[in-house]
Amino acid sequence: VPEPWWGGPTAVMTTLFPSVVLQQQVNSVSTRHIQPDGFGAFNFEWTHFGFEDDDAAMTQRRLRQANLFGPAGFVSADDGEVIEHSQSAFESKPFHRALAELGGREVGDTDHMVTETLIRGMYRYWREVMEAP
Amino acid sequence: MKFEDHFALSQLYASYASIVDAADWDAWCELFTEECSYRLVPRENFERGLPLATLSFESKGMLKDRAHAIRETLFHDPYYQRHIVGAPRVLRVEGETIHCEANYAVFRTKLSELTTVFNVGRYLDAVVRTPGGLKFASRQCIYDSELIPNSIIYPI
Repeated sequence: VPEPWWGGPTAVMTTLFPSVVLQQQVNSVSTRHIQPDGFGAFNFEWTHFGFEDDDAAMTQRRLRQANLFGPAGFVSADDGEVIEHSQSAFESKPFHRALAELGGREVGDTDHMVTETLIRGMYRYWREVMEAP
Repeated sequence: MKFEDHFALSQLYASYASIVDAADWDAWCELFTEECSYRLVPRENFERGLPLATLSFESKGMLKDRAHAIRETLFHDPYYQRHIVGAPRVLRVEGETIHCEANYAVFRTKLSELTTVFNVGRYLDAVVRTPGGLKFASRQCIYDSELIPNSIIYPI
């Protein structure tokens, strides 16, 4: 999302298939790493970055902004809560299937975020890589 | 340390546990001084001197932000928490400041689920005398439970 006061996008997320997210939100730079832990569980590891040439004020700024992220963070704690809710719903009827149909059934670029195209795209590629031909 | 001071300190610890278990977030803010510190720190980071905290608030205003977020912005599955806090151990007294610590265990109960151990650790505190009684100038929750069961919404 480009913001004029910042001079560029304030939030940039890059997902590396299948399990790492590189995240930059303003001065907060971090990675999120999904580590599978058996069936139905994974560990979610956050790593926050600072740099050798950061001055004390920049380090303080990064630490302060870290309150936004991680398992208790102001903007990320509820991501985990929502995912847990979704998982509970998927598992509630094991004989059914869950469909992520927000924004249709296709995979493609959009100019908005009200879509599950990224989830569909991830699983489409997952099947391509993991399924026997 | 005089008996009545130790009694007041014990009451402060008991009030803290009672207030956070009752989900009274406004009262939680009022247990702190204006210029305060509240930190939720993994034990590994604390012992290695690493500065990153799971939460790090630097004023009562930031505590009020959290209270607002819990009520208004942080979508979450509500849960009960139950604090079991050991007796405060006074480390030293410097002027008006009492440096003290206590072990704690927090249990979590969600609707229709079994109670689980949620977060276990040690409070490391600086408590000061104010006209309104003893308040926390600093409370660090140094937790052993580094594998967090998804999220921590409410203050420990």
